[in-house]
Amino acid sequence: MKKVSVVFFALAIFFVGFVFAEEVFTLEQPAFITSAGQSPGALQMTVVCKMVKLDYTFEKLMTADDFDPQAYNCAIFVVGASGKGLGAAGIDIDEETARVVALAQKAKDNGLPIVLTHLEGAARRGASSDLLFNELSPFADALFIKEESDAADQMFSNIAEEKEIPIFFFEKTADLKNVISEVFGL
Amino acid sequence: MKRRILAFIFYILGVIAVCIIATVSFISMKINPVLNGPGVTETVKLSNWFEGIKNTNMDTNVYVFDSGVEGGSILILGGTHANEPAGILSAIVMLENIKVETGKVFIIPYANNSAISHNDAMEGAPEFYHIDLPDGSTRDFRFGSRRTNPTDQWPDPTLYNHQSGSTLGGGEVSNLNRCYPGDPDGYPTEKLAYAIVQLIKNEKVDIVIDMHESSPEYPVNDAIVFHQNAAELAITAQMMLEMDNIQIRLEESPVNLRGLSHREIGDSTDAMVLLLEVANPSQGRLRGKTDEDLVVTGLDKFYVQAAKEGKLYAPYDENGYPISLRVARHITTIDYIIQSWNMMSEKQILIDDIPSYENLINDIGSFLIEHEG
Ligand SMILES: [Zn+2]
Repeated sequence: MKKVSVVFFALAIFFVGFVFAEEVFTLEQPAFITSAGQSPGALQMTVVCKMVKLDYTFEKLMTADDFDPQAYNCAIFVVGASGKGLGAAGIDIDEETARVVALAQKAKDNGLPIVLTHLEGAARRGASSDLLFNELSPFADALFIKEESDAADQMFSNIAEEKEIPIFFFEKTADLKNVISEVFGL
Repeated sequence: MKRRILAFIFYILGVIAVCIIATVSFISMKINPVLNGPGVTETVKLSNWFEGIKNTNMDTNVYVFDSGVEGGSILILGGTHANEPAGILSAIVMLENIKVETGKVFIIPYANNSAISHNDAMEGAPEFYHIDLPDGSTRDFRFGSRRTNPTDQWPDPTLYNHQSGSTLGGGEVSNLNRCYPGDPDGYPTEKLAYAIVQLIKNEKVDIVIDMHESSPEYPVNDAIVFHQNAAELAITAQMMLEMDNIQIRLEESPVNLRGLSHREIGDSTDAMVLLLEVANPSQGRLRGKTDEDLVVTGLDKFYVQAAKEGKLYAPYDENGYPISLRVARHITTIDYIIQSWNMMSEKQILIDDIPSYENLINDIGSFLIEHEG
C-alpha cells in the first residue's frame, strides 16, 4: 500500500512537472531588439535589458537583408509608432511595416522565437501602432505588454488568446525587468 | 486767455508726468533682483563666459553652487521662455533651498533676461503673479514673454536663416530656443545662446536641463525631450517617476528640428541635454480670461471642457494644473535625472535639501525666501 502511494505520488509529481514544464516560456541570450514604429519605447526596452544585464543588440532600423539570424537566439520587436521618430528616420508607416514584417519573416524562417512588446501604455495606442502590431502578430511566440496598454480594449489579451501564445503583463516599465529576468532565467 | 495758458501748462505737465512714470516703470522692468540662497557659493554674470553680451539686457545672473568636492556638474535653465513661469519658479525654488555636497551646480533662472522685461500684452498676459508665503506676506514674480524684448533686438528679419541651413520664421531669431548653438556675431538672442554654450563648454558641464511649459492640447506635454546621448538618463528617470506614480512622456529629440537646446547643445558639446515640459493652460490657445489666477491655479473652464472631450494630452480636470504641481513635477524630474546620472557615472552630483514633490504641492510658499518690495 505504502509503495503504491509512493509510486503514485512520484508519477503525479512527474506529470505535474511535465505539464508545467510545457507551459513555461523561456528565451535564450543573446537577444536581438528592434523598434517597430520608431517611438522611444524600443530605447526603454534596451535600458531595462541593460539593467538586468541581458546580452542584446539593438538596431532600430535593421533590415531583413542586413540581419544575421545566426548571431541571436531570439528577436524582440518593440511596437510603438511615432510620427516624429519615423520622420527623423525619413520613412513612412508603410515602409516601416514592410521592414519589420520582412525582418520577422527572416527570423521565423531561421527558427528564432519572436516576442512582441508594447510598453508605452495607452498614450502610444493608435491606428499606426495597432497596424504594426497586427501585421507582426502572426509571427509572435509571446507578448510582453504593459497593463495600461491593454486596459481599454484588451486587444493584446485577445491576440494572445486567439493565437494561444503566452502573454506577460507588467504594471510599470521598471517591472518589465522581472518579466525579462524570468523568461531569460537571469 | 490766462486760463487757457494755465490749462495748456497743466496738460503738458500731465503728459510729462505720464512719460516719467512710464519710463521709470519700463526701466524698472529691466532690473531683476539678485536672488540668494544658503547654498549659493558665487553669483556670476553670464557675460563672464562671453564678453559680447556684457552691459546689455541679454546678460543674466548665473548662480553657482560649488561643493569644492570633485564630481559631475549640471546646468539648470529656467526662463528660456519667460511666459512659462513654472520653469523660472522651479529654478528659484532650487536655488533658494539646495546645498551641493559633491560636484557643481549652475542655475540660471532667467535664461532670456530680456524676455522677462516685457510681456505679451496682445495675449492679455498679466505683468505679475504672486505666491503666498507662510507668514502671510506674498512674493511677486514677473510674467514675461516668449521672445526677446524688441528694445533689445529689433527689427527681426522676415525669415531666419539658421546656421544649420534650416529656414525658420523671422520672429524665431528672438526665441532663445531656436537660436542654439548661437553666434558670437549674430543677433542679440544668438549671442545669448552662444554665451550659454560657452559656459557649458568651458565649465565642462555634464548635464543640461532646460525647463519649459506647454499648452495641454499640445502632444509634447508632461514630457522629457532628450537628445539621443541622454536617452538612458531620461528613460531611467522616467522609470523612477513612474514608481512614484508620476506619469511623464519620453520624446527623443528629432535630428531635423534645428536651433533647439536639446538638439544643438547636445550636438555641439559633451553635455547630456534634456528639455522638460509641463502642461500649463495659460500657454494654451483654448484658454479664456488670462490673468494671475489662471497662471497660479492653472484652472480654466474651457480646458475642463476640452479634457472631458478627450482633446488634451495631460490628465486635466476641475482641480486645474496649479503652479505648485508644475514646479513639483519639474524639480522631482530633475532630482531623478541626477539620481540616474549618479547610477551610471563616477562623477557624482550630490545635492541636499531638494524640496519633495508632496511638500511642494502642499505649500510651495514655504520654500521661498521672504523678499522686501
Ligand atoms: Zn517653452
